[in-house]
Amino acid sequence: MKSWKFLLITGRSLKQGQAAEQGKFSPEYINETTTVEIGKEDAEKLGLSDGMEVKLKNTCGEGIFHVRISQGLPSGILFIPYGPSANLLIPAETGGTGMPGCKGIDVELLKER
Amino acid sequence: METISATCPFCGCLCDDIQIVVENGKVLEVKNGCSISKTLFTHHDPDDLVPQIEGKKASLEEALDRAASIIRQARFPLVFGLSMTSCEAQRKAVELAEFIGGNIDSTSTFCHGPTTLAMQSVGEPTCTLGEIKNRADLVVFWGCNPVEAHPRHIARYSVSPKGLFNPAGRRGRTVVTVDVRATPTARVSDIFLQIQPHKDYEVFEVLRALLKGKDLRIDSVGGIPLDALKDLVNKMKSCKFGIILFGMGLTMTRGRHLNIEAAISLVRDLNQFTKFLIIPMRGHYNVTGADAVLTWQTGYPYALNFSRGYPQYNPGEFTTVDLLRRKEVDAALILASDPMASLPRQASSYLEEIPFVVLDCRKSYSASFATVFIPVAASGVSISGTAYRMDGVPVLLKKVLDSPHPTDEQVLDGILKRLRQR
Repeated sequence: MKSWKFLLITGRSLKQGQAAEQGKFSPEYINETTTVEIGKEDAEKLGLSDGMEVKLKNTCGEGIFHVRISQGLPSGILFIPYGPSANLLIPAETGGTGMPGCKGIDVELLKER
Repeated sequence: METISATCPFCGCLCDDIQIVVENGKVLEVKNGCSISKTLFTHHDPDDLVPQIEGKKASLEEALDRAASIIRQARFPLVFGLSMTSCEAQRKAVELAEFIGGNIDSTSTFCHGPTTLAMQSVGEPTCTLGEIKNRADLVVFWGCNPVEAHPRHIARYSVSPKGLFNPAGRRGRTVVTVDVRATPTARVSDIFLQIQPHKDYEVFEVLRALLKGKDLRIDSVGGIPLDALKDLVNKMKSCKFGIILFGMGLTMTRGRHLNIEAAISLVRDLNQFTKFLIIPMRGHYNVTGADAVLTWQTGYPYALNFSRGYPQYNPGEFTTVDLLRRKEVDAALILASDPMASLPRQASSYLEEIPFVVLDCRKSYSASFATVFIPVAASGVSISGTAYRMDGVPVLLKKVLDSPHPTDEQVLDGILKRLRQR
């Protein structure tokens, strides 16, 4: 497997909000919260296209996500909507504030050759 | 068929102009709501839920008995959630936490907890959303994306509406977005400043230095050209009424509460030149209420512990992610939240090692792992009550549909009565 380093940002998406109201076990929610967005330039460089599966891992855990190419992301940044899958990659250390760092997390993206 | 007025119990906007067309207990149409609000009301299906003990169907009485037994046997229990229920239920949760000498914490702990820390340090120059609508001519969205997270905020309060002192509506406002991503909110803004991750604190301090007339020998900070920041400072100084609306992009990134302290300090400095204010964009519809209720009940907004018989407040020690990560609590009572979906897995996985009770109006990840699950009526759908909008304005939640289930408040009261009978 080839791997590349990225910074991961997690956050809200409209589809994630809607799908949570359809049900946390709905295909819509599971699909949206296992999506990773990547900038167009990075996707071209890595040979990724919409719907392709990639593995993301770091010291917290790992998960399989499917790719969605986004116009709005700068190079080197990935985005995953909030949900149980994104939380596999978020460190629980809070630095004495109670708040885990859910944005700007080091992750490795792995792709089958 | 009848049309019922409702308040949407989804996000901190608490839109109270929703009209719901109902026939035979079913929602036919949701008028005025955003796409999330429409889904919330049309997908509400309380009949699908039954009380469960260890995954098996149980009566409400059996579930209450078992819930009370779990809490009675615990030496260091946690009461957690609170943000998607009414203030009345939140008040009852505080009463229960105090009686059992446990911890109590809301979802503020992992949304705007750092904002509270900052406000305790440097104050809160704030206003209502109505004042933004009527007065603001400069709106800065920093680390938030209302187009997706608070879908009607822009149309109802902050950008589009015509106000008393802004009759031109959208044309009378300059809208700036500062974010790492070019979000849909950035795309509807006049100016988008793309900031590098973890650089918010530096950019706020540079803005403060520029405001004070300092000569800075740098070309850019946080990926933003200095000239763009000089232009922003000029716009901030010359506007009549400016507002910074900020989200998790500041609270969850490096610096956390220090980012908010820097943002508030900038706003404080700007008031030497013009009227400038700041409001956090609160997510869950009554997370602001959780802060308010805990504060007027105990003196503190979240991260509370009653084990000494009086409230102790200490974020980092009594905050949920820390209590779970360090495996300190030995039982939990969760209401109006889904920590197994929304907390880091490194913390939430510990819930599988301890008995815990979940009160929820829908099937959630936490409910499916709970030792005891008690379905409750949804506040703002099946029961009325009070909730606080993101600007601290209390709004009435209204009943739209009947529910076969008790309220959060009634279930908490049932558990409390059992604990007191001992």
